[in-house]
Amino acid sequence: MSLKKLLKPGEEGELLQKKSRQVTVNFQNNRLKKINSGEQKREILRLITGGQLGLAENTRPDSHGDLGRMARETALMGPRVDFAFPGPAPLEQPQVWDKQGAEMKLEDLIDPARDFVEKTSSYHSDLQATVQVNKVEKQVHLENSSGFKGEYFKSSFEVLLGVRLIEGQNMLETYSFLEHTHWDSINWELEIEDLLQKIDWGRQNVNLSPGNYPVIMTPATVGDILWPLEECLNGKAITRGLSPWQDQLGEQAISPQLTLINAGTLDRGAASKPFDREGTPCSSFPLLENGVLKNYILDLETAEKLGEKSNGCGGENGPGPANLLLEPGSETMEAMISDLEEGVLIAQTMGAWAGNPYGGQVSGNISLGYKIKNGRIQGRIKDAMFSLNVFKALKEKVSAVGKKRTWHGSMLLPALLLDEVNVSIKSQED
Amino acid sequence: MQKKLQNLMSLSKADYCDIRVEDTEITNISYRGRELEKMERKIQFGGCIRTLIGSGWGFISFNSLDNLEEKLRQAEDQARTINRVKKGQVQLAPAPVIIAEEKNDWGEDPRQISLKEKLELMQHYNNLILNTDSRVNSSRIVYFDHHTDWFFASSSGTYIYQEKGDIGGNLGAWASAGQERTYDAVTFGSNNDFSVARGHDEQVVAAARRAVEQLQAPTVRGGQYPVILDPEMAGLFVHEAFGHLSEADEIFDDKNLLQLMQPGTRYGPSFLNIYDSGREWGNRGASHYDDEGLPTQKTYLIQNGEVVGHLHSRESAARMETEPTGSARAMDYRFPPICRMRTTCIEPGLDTLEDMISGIDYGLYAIGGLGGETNGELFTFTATRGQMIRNGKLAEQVKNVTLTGNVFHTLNNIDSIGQDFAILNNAGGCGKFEQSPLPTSEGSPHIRVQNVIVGGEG
Repeated sequence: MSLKKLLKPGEEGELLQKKSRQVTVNFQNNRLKKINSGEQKREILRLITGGQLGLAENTRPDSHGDLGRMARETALMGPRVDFAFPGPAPLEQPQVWDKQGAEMKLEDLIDPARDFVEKTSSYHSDLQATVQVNKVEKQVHLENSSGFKGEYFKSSFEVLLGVRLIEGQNMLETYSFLEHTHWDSINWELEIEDLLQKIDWGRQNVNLSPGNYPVIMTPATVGDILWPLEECLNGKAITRGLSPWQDQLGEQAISPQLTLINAGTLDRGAASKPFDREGTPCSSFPLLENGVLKNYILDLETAEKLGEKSNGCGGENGPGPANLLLEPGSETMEAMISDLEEGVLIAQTMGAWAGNPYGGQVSGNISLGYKIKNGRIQGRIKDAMFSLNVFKALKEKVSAVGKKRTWHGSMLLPALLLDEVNVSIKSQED
Repeated sequence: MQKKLQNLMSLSKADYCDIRVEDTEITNISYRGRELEKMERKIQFGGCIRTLIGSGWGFISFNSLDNLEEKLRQAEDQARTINRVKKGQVQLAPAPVIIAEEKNDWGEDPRQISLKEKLELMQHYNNLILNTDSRVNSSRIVYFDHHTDWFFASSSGTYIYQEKGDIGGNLGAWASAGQERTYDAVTFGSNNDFSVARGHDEQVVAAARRAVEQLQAPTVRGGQYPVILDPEMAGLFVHEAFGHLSEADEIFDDKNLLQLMQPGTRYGPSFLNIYDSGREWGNRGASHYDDEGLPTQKTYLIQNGEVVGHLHSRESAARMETEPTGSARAMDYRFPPICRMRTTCIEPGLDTLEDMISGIDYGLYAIGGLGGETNGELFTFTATRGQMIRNGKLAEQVKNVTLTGNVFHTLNNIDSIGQDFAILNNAGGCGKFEQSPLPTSEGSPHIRVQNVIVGGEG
């Protein structure tokens, strides 16, 4: 289906065609239980007529005509827009297609997953492992009435690894989620080692008094508290007057120790691509550089409202970041732990996503956390919550930034040591 | 369609096989602040085949109904691959062979309401919100409706057509002053009646005023409190604290968990009764049949404080030697059915809200649910707002109220259940594994829970 056939004279438009093919291998409780596969084809049309924007999507193979009809119908009442679809532009081509990986057979996905189950259950016979390996191949084609035409292919391997140990009413569970464009980026041995370490540390529950503590957030949990930053850097929050960072470009927003980069075209980046959902070239730029606010996350519409240019962050639901990279510091995890007289290591959180992003208050359950005493991990703390204002914490309370970074989805993050994080915890007598 | 699907099923070489086809039309409207953000129409058409051979399930999803036999064979190959890795036999609980056609029991059918009328209604609410107070500087309005023609056939001879509906909305106000940002909202939802979207004028103005009032409120102090949950928070609580634990596909494979969830195990006080029902018509999640083609039912999970049942698929019911409950649900054609909740409720008790408040020296009243999560043992849930209770009376407002609990202990800390009862619907949904959001709803009276851990400033 071509865009030309869908548009009437005087209409501007953009047609996005997405094809994907995937296969998922699923081990639950140490057993291979399901193999799922799927093919999907979606067509999304944005149409501007009389300055109003219409939007329609279709997955029914035999009804292309509906796409134009539905887009035209919504455009009659749709939002007034001033932006124009971008024309052709030079594009960077990040490496996001794994030729070898794409040719992998079902058995090649099953073997390392089975190996994971065998290794974890030989470590402890009551450990229940969950493994999900998802191989996805995507083809994205975009064209618009300003003459842009682009296409890219992308592979991705999404791997969920989890182990759980139940003893009486005590449940100890840890997991990791990986997303890579290339199969050989997955380091199975390292993941197993990391998960078993977390199980080992958590075998004994220990008491902690409620209060304010220095807290080490692992790279994964740094990812859990960054979402208010993402929301407040988003062009939508800026144009709505909700972001506390409105009109703050060039200002010191957070600690000078922190630099956050939006990397749109990084080779092998899970969120890398040559152009965004609107045909704007993707690129890399700092959002916060040494804590100074440098750029917002913009699409065509929000950029136009702010009198700027889209920086290639257009997504299906407004602007969104590509890969987010938090620059590393100089401290090792071992040193962070051994330097603490008394503190908490937070390895997993739960529910920290619910709440008010623009106020910056983040509270969540410490679903896996450890007490540190005299520079050593003492055991697991349970029935505990952490609470912090992420803007304040990242501005005034950063006492160390980790040296080693790990990928969590499309975020590459170091650990952080934050001072004075409030921990509420069940009192001992209950 | 019937012939096509039944013919395909007759070609299957699997122990069991089913096919589902869904044809869904969607309307989405959203505002952010003054500006209309999105007007969208969608057609989501697709199907899936599920096969069982020995120990393994194969599953394939697609958009086109061409070459169905080829797809069936691929799903069979996938199931055989599993059976080769480890031989075995998955048993399925017996299910009736059903030939049926069920129309949705519409009140006001959203397809009979013009796009213009829907838009004008949302615009009207948006204007009411934004004109309430100068400190209300933004809003978030979300409206959607889905209409689905759902077709199902199985190798056991079942063929079902059912019509499904899903309507939801969120009418939210953001207030700002200095660096403070606060939010409150009105929500609605239904499986069969557009009229739930009407008549919220007074409520949206009240929500916008509450957002403004909260600007002055301090963040709650972290600690351990007796907490009264309003019906919306209590609904979220029962969903996270016990609903997910009752989903039998999580239980049957794990001998430790199976032990913890044995019928007769006490989890709450003798006046606590919890059920999950697929037949609460008018609420999100209600339907005649689940995604395995079984009739839905009302299932008690806890009676008189003890475990009495679980939410089953055919596989989990067979493993736990009981009857399936019609709880196998899939988010859409791209996913296989798994054990899920529909409308999850705490039954009303005997107490009044006044008595609950007057029995607390120092505690918290948590109002309106923003969302929650559980990992099987621990859970969290977040309120829209809170109010402290001092010396048996409601006192100052507080904000940023997130609570946490332990699924095995917290139900036991319920010491009071109200007479009032409401089933609440919103525009969100439930997430499990990669399937989110699935339409669900929750019902409860006010409840009081002792020793709840609250996150907050020190």
